[in-house]
Amino acid sequence: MTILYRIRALVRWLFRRDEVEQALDTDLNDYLERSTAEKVRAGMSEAEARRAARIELGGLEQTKESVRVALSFAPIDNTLADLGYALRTLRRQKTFTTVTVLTLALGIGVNVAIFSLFQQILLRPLPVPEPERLVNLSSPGPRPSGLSYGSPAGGTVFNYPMFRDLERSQAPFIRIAAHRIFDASLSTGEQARRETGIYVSGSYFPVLGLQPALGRLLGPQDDGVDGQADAVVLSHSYWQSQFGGDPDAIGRTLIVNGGPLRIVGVAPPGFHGTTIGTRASVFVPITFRPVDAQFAIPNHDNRRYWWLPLFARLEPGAALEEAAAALNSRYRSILNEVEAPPLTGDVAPAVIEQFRTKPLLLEPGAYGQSQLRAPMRDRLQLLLAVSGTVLLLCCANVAGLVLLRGAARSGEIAVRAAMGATRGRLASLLLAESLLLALPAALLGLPVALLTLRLLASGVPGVPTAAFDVAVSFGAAVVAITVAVVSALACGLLPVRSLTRTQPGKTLQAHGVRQTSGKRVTLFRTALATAQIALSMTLLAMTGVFAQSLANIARVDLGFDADSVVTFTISPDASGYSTEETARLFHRLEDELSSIPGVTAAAMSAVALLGGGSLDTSASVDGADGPVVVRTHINSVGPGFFRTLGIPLLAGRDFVETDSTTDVAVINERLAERLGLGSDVVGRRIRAFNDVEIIGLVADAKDVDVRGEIEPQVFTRHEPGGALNSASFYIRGAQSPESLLNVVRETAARLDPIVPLANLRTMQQQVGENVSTERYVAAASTAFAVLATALAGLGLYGVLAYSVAQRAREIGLRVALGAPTKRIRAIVLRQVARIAVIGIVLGTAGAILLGRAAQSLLFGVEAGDPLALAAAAVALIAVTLGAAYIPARRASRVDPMSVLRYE
Amino acid sequence: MTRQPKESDGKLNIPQGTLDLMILTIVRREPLHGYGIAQRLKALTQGTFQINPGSLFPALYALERDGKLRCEERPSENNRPARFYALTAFGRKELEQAEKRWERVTAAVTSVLQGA
Repeated sequence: MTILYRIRALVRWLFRRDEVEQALDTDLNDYLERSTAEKVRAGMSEAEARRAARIELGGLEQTKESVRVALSFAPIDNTLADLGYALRTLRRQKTFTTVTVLTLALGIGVNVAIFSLFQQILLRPLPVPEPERLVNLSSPGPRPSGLSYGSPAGGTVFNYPMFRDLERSQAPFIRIAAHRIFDASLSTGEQARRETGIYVSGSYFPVLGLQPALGRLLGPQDDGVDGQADAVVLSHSYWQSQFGGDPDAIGRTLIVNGGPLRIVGVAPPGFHGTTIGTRASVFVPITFRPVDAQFAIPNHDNRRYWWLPLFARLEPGAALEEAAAALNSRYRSILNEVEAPPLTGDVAPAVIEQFRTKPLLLEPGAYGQSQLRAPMRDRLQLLLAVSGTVLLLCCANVAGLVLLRGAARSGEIAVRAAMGATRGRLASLLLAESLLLALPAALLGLPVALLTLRLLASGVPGVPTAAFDVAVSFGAAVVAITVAVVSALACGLLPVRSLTRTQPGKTLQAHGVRQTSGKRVTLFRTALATAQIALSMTLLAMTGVFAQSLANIARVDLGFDADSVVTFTISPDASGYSTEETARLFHRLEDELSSIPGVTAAAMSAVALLGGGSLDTSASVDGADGPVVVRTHINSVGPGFFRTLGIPLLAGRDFVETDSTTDVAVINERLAERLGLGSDVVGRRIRAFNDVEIIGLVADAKDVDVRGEIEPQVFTRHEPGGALNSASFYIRGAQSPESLLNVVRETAARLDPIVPLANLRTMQQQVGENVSTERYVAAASTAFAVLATALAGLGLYGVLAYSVAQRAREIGLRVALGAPTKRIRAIVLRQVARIAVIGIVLGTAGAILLGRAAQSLLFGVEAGDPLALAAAAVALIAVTLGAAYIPARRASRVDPMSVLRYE
Repeated sequence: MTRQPKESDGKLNIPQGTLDLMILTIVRREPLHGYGIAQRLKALTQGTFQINPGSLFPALYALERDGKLRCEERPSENNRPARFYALTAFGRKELEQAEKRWERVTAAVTSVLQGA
């Protein structure tokens, strides 16, 4: 009741002011009448009484005004007035407003995009209940003589029997799950689609604690028998996109890599597996396929085949330490009793000892597992740092602009202050303007962010496009608004401080209502410009370093001849081909490709050269003091591989058709050297997966990535279709790359129109693709650096223009007293020089610091590279001089008469 | 701005907040117009407090805005419209609380002054 009444009264006073005015008239007239009547009764004349009553009232208008003041909600009224005033001012100064809003929008947009990426990929825990109770398992240490597929570093992959042993051991406090990403070819009968799939253990979904969106998820009943699987679960988004969200999809058949599986359920929305940066479309039982090939995944019985990442969930109430202890004791006993004994005699006793005591580590797994080879975190953090720097620059520029304009208005502000405006009122006036600039900038920033994300989606190497949504999340939008408001406050408040400190008396006395002095303002402006130059210097120097790094990479000696070679990869098994069919296709491809007119050589390999992946194993040889064991890459290649790629054969011979796939090998110089084989390599026997005789020695060549060290490599004879069901082909020809690509495409299509060719390109393109990260980083940092330098130039121009305008009197006086033009220009240039020198020194320090952090992305160049620093400094000096040109000219043309007359 | 009377005039400035209290007390008995309230104030304080319309009306309008007073417009004796201020239920509650507060404060202050 009371509350309602109060609200009504409030509304009335707020919005129905005319009623208030009427009431006031009534009240005051009534007062006058009564007062007059009273005075007449007391003996005054009518006229006298009326006059006395008016005096008593103290002036009609004044009384009305004091009522208005008492009623007006001063803060609200003032704010509205400020906003209105700010709006009018901004509308009048179109250029200023546009430049400022666009600058801020750019800064905000780019940052929101990068942050959104960062948040999606790195900051968001898995969408499962209690993700903090998940742990990732790893076991760093030797893995004698075996194959490691995928991420070999840090011991994050296990063999399948070990997983089953651990699972069976039923360690208390913890439940374990296994999973493995694979390339899936999915079809419901028509055209197959390439998607990412995950092989999951039956414990996978229960350990994650997920509930199905539809149907059921996979469970222990689905992975009972190795080599058998008949159920598949779809990701929610795959179900939406391929089945239109049709509930009848349950029960239908999905052909996964040639195997028919029944769709039993749909995973909850937003869940795409637990591997950072990948989005799986289907979940297939880990028992999916019988072992039909040496290198194939999944592999269910080989203890020397490391391919399976494991994670686990701590039981409710269990502590990490007790779970780790329980699991470790079981892990050690499996190592000691099952895995170590067969190694005896094969591997140095010291290595076996290390192997026996390998720890099993439990690390926080709330964010999933990292699968990507190069740590994506570094790259994203670099991007975030750089884009944050650009936002800082944008803010600095806006602050500069606001200040510049504020300085021009200091006369107005001084008048306001003199008329009794408090500092708070002045601040609120300037803040209103800042906010009016920031809010449209935030709104504009969102489309900018979307554009940036789309741009990023079109290719951040190492960040798969599928890894994130091209959409600005609600969180990111909130961040955008916050960033906008904070930058508005920053832009608005800093100048407010310096402007409102100016003493109105002094300002007005010194210059009339025209301009300010204000050392503080100048200092602030100068500091701002210096900071901008420093930041630009940092970014420019980084760009120089990255460009140099890229140039170094281009000059790297690959060890093979990439010119005139084209390559492609083909995976017939994904189209449902049997091993025999695959073998037949590979044979025919080898024959047909070699017989293309103009083609001088053609060959194949199991692992694509510079495809970014590798197979690992260990090679050993009996030395004088026991076995020598070396970690090595292994690839199986067809006859003619070395000749096709121009890798020099140093001794022995190449493979021939009749060679065994298991008894002979070719090794590279690095492996021969590491194994200590001396000069007499050919004919020696080593152990590398199998016992093999070395038939050839080849020169070192890059195999995984262009930047890396050349690793020891062992090559075995590739048996088409026997060991691997996918292969890469290499064709060397005399014709131009385009026509070679065309004829290869036609030949392959003629042989088999169904199986698609992947990555058909020239070997040079393959090399380019291999260093795409470096190219991308160089391109991105160039873009940012150019932007930053342009902003800094603009900012510097602002400072100088302002300072020249401010010192017009002084300059005029100097000119009047006979100072030569040169001297006048020197005034401006001296100021520029100081800013540039300090900025460049600070920026150099920044570049070195940032470069250290980004060292992992650099190749053959240090962060503090003098050439890059010098180039950046020269570029910046050019920009500073450019920015100084107009103000300096203006200064030298100051007409003493007009300036001084004004005084 | 209104001229603040000096204390040397023999009249006191009204202590902050007390004007509201006095207005509410006056209209508690019966609805009254502005002039009437001014006269009543002068009479009740025996001229101790100087209340000019420049401070009375803002206080009245603020009290109305805050819902402590409500206003009725009705013709007065000579058919001119006049506004009569009356206490609302909320105003009454406020007044009662304010009286209690006032009593406690004056009692405390008085005892301190007497004790000193």
